[in-house]
Amino acid sequence: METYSFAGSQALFRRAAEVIPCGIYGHFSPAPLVPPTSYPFFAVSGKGSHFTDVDGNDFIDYMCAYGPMVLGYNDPVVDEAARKQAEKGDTLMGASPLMVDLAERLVELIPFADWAFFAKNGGDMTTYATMIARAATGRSKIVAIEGGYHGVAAWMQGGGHHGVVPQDTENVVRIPWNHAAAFECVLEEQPGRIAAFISTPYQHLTFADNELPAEGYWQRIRELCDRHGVVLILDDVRAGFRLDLRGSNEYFGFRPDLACYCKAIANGYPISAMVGRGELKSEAAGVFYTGSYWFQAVPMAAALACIDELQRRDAPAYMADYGRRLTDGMKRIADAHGHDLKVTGPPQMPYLRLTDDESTMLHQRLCAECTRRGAYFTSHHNWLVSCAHTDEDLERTLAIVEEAFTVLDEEGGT
Amino acid sequence: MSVLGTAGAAPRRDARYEAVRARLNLHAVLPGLEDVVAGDAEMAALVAGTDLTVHFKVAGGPAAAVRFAGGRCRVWPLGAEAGDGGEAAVCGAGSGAEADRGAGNGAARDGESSDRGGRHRDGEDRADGRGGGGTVTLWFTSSAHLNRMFDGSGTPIPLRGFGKLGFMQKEFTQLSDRLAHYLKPTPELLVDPDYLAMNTRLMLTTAAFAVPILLEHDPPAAGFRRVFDGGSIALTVLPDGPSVGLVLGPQRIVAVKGEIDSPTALIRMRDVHIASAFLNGTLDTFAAVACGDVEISGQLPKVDALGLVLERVPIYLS
Ligand SMILES: Cc1ncc(COP(=O)(O)O)c(C=O)c1O
Repeated sequence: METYSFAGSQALFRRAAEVIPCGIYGHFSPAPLVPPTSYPFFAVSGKGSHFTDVDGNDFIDYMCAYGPMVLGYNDPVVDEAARKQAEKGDTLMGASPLMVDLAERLVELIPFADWAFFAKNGGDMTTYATMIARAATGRSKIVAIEGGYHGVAAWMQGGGHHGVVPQDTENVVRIPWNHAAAFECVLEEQPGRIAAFISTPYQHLTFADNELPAEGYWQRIRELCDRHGVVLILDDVRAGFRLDLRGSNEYFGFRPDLACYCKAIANGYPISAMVGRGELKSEAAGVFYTGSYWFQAVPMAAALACIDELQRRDAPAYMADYGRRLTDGMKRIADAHGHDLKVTGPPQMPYLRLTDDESTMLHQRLCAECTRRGAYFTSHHNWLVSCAHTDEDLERTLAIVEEAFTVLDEEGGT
Repeated sequence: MSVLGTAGAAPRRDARYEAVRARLNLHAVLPGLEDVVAGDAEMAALVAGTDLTVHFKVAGGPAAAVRFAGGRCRVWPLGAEAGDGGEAAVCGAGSGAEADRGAGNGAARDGESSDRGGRHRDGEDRADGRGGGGTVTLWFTSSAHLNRMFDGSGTPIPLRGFGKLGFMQKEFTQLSDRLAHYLKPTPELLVDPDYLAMNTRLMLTTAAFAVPILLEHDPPAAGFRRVFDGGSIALTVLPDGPSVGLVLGPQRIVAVKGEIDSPTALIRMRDVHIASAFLNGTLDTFAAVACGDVEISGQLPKVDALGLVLERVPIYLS
């Protein structure tokens, strides 16, 4: 099999590093890619489940741009809806009627939702949610899960990180995942001080096995929130619309007070959303919150088309089936090469790890060898599949995985 | 990640700050004497015939021993002696053997001068850190007092070994001046390959030995303690070293000189020039990682946290 060269990415990165902090910052930073020299840094085009990098290499994408791609790159239906709206206008002097259509669509789709609000990024919504909770309760503290990621605002980041001062995080209490008793303990120790509980629907950390909620966990959290007057915020930014089109809370059988969506809502067009229960609508109205591009009509048109398509194509079921076949196939190959590949998290967003590899170096080599052959895998983060991944992709991917394991066997250390 | 080059906000020089700085001076900087004697022929000649142990003791604070014997120098902590038992437990600048026992992982390989805890390796040394020959004990009324000496302005109070004070005033002063020289690079000095090699080795060692101290005593760094929950981290300059390791035991983190077996996180610098720029904070680390000049692999959260801990070093030592 051909292995790729990344000379173009490397050259462009050197230019980038001169004029952009980090060269490429944030989640697209090369830093967690091991080794970065086996990965593309710059993408130029995409179609379906594939993208092409600056070197002309073609990849089957198992990160889906870290989530926003859900129907496939350049999906014709979504792009056509966006194009039609773009011809009319995008950011205009006034809100688009599509905003009302989209809010109605989300309220209809998500059973607990009575209203919807739109912004650009997931972090816009998680911060807004905590502000609404504080306004509604008159309390200051937020309970979150250890390691839980909700964006990049200072309050969400850990102490000791650059640009974060102790005051930023002093109102955030972190508790372990799947530990309703710990939440109860905090509520009892700090009576009347907890405004909100914020969490993703299941624990999808980087560098760690993903963990589903224990039986009864969410129901217990709901009960405790009700008893103590705490606002229950679901951060469904990553998992939303991949597990269940009614919101991941329906998948796990509970109802939050506020839920935040972003990644799979508009197939890559920039929009995020929050939905909430009616009781919190006036509190949401009271919090002043806006942004220059939050009324862009094109992403709203894209979101409406995307949601229709997700429904028409029964997206969560399709992705679950593909994810299951992918990971089952990979486990079989790993097994044949004498390795145990552990798969955690839901099949639409699996997290993989070789159990006989404490340092994770072997897993890193595996992911790099696959990427160099055209199956884009990261080693530190859950993968994501889309509705555009095909049987042909699966076959090709498994052939790549087989060859990558063979290369590792030959190189030794496996 | 900048290691020793850039300092953060100017710290308040209170007693807590001075105490951390004293520990770093004794347990991360002073051990550089070993390398200076081993790697600088002039300095080796200076102490060739010396058989002497020097104790540095801070009242109620950290203590360290420096031993000259057989043309070599060894430095190790004397935590319990100065009435500060916590010291040795964590900052154990220990030998490889100790590291192995402590963590059950990533044992130091014998080879490079990983015999920091000379008492375990050298039959002539007694367990209390007093070897043959004489002992000079230098006493400091406070951490700030010790730090002033490291800054070149404070004078210690000799408690014993008055007959050896000549050595302290002459040879030892020359030796410590040379250590300071190697630790204060300028672009001109770094052109000399020998200087570059020694500076890189000393910076790497200082960084590694600073980590256990900061994780224990520097509150912002201590916030990352839980990330270092097992396994080991190796920092290596390619192609042939120097290398240092951090062995992350459940109770203590041990820094060792030399290579360690099967590290679970790895930082490898392509050559001494990259290493020097990395350690002196003049490298664009993001670009260097992206293009493979600095290779990181294995348990990356530990590498990330290590970077944040090492950023605390210049706050105390720049
Ligand atoms: C669970 C979760 N919450 C919030 C965010 C932040 O979203 P954004 O990067 O769009 O602000 C992310 C992004 O990855 C996420 O995964």
